[in-house]
Amino acid sequence: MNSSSEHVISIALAGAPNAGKSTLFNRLTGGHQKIGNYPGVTVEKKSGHLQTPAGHHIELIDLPGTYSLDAQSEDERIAVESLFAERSSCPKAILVVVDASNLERSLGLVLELKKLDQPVLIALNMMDLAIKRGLKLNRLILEKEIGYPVIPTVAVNKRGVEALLEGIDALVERVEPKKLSSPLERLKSIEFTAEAIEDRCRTVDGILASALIEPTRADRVSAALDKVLLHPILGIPILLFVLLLVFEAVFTWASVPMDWIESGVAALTALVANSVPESWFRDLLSEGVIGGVGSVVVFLPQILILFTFILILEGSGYMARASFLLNRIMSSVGLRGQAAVPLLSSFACAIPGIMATRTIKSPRERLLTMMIAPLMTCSARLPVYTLLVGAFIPAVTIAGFFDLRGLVMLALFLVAVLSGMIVAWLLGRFAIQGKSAPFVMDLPTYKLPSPLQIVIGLWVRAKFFLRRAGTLILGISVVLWVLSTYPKAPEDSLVPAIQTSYAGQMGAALEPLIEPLGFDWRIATGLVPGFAAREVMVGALGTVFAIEDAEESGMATLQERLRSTWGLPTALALLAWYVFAPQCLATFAVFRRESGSWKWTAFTFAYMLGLAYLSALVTFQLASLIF
Amino acid sequence: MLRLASLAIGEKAVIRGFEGDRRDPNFPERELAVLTLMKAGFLPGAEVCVVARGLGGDPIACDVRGARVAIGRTEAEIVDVDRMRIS
Repeated sequence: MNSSSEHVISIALAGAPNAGKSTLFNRLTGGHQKIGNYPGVTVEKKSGHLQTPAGHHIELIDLPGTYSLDAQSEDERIAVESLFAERSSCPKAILVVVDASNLERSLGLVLELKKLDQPVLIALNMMDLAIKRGLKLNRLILEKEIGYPVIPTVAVNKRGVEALLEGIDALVERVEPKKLSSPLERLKSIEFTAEAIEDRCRTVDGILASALIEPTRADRVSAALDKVLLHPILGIPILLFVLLLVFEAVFTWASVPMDWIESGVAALTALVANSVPESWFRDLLSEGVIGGVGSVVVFLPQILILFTFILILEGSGYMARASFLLNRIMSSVGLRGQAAVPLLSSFACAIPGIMATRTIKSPRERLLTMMIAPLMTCSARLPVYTLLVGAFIPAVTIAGFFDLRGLVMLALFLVAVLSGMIVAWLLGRFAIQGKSAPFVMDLPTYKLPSPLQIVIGLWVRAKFFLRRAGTLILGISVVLWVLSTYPKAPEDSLVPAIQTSYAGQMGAALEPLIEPLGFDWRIATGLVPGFAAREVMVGALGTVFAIEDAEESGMATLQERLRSTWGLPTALALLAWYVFAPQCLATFAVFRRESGSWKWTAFTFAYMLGLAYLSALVTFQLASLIF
Repeated sequence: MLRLASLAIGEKAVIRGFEGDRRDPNFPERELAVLTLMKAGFLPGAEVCVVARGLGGDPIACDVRGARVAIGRTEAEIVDVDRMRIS
């Protein structure tokens, strides 16, 4: 058959995430991926294109769902149904990823898919691990018993992927162009009663009884690791130690590349100063563009280090253990362990965190988790924390190992977690009604995380962060530079030029409101644009101080300038403000989309703003008494 | 009747069914819980071994049908089991 671009064959990809489905999806489609939404529901539709050796154009659609087509939320069921409802979008064949080391569990899905009466190809994934754990099976018998071709694969290995592509070609040949009965009706005919589930499991047992020569042994390494990591006494301290290590690494390891970026920015500023004739344009370039963007880009190393750890924790299987260990704390505030992963992701950024709440089946717990997700210390807060902690907290070593600055950072994280818990408890108790879903969570075997997945994950974050720095933050930096440069002060003015500018005027107007918090007009100048994105504050302070000092000699760093301008109470109050302040437009845009409610979006914004003001007020007033 | 929730770490048992307390007013989503448990491999006749418990015994991590699964204490309260002799 001669394939043309009009003739794209859509194939659905089913299987559990633990079976390496997303790695396989990445391997098969490479960079040709598209992420959209299913109509009417908040379920991500991930699809990608690939070409088979025989030249077929395949659209691979990643199906939501895990071990069962029914295992997911109401929204995800609607999404799958919408896919099968349209003749045009309906997948013509199905590729199922099955975890070879866990056949008892994962073959049930294949039996469910049988009802669809479509060609199916089974990718028996992670064969290497299964064989290592003693699996011996007769593939021909397995194929005969289950009724579909089976291809053993290793998702990270090229050879398995090639065999799979050939298998897809054979799969395409089996697609019948005209089917009479509706695929949607067949989808709906899959039963999920207790009897049907039990029946499928018995069938799986029967298939395995004849196809298996040696079953997979329990993973000894995982069992041994769980003995320690899930230990009733050791488990929590180990988790805390891991988290502390992550924060220390983010703070200390990043300093070297950060220095490089800083000197790069300084060199660039010098280059502009030497090569561009003195004009408003030169000032805009060096103070607005390079100064503003540079002071945000400098935090890229920290963000990448944090994400490396999060991706390793996820890929290794420890993240599920963290949910397990934290379940008790979660349930004390009306949430379950499943809320832990979205919340932990929110430590990187609340946006993926809020999106990750899609895996929470109970609508009530999902809304609750979304409402506290923006309180978790996201990476955009790090620039502000690092700047202020670095400027005001001395680098003293405590107990021979921990840096006082690292401990202060940890305290900021813990305050955020604690207040998130309290808010969740209050909201769950008094504001949000609804049912909770049963708590059943897989603890996947431990694996060495795939470097490819980590690199792809880091690349996506870095791109997102740099694009923001290049667009939103660049725009705000330029606007801010204009606001803080014009109108120019009269020649004989005694006050710094910025004080007579628009920004200075706005800051002065806000001053009475924020004076009880110990904030001056400079902070006010950064706070207004900071509602678009937290890290803008750093750029804003960079711009404000660069301009203010333009007349003075000496090249003090921003931190030295901060130290000489503010007292410790002001710095602490600003830190307290940043723990709570709802300063991220994108988060609230995603919140609105995911919650489908303006009411809860506005409520979340308001409660965070209220908490920010109160905590900064209390911190400043108390600190002023002490210091 | 012995419940999965009352097993200690390291104990093995065979699942009998999901009798539990049908009248528990605090647990109206019992049917949903039973289906979710069955999909995760908690079937009558299946062997289950408790491998870890969280703070205060919640959640409970078990090996069942070749997989390691964590379930909440509330969910473990509805699984009836027969203790097996540890060999």
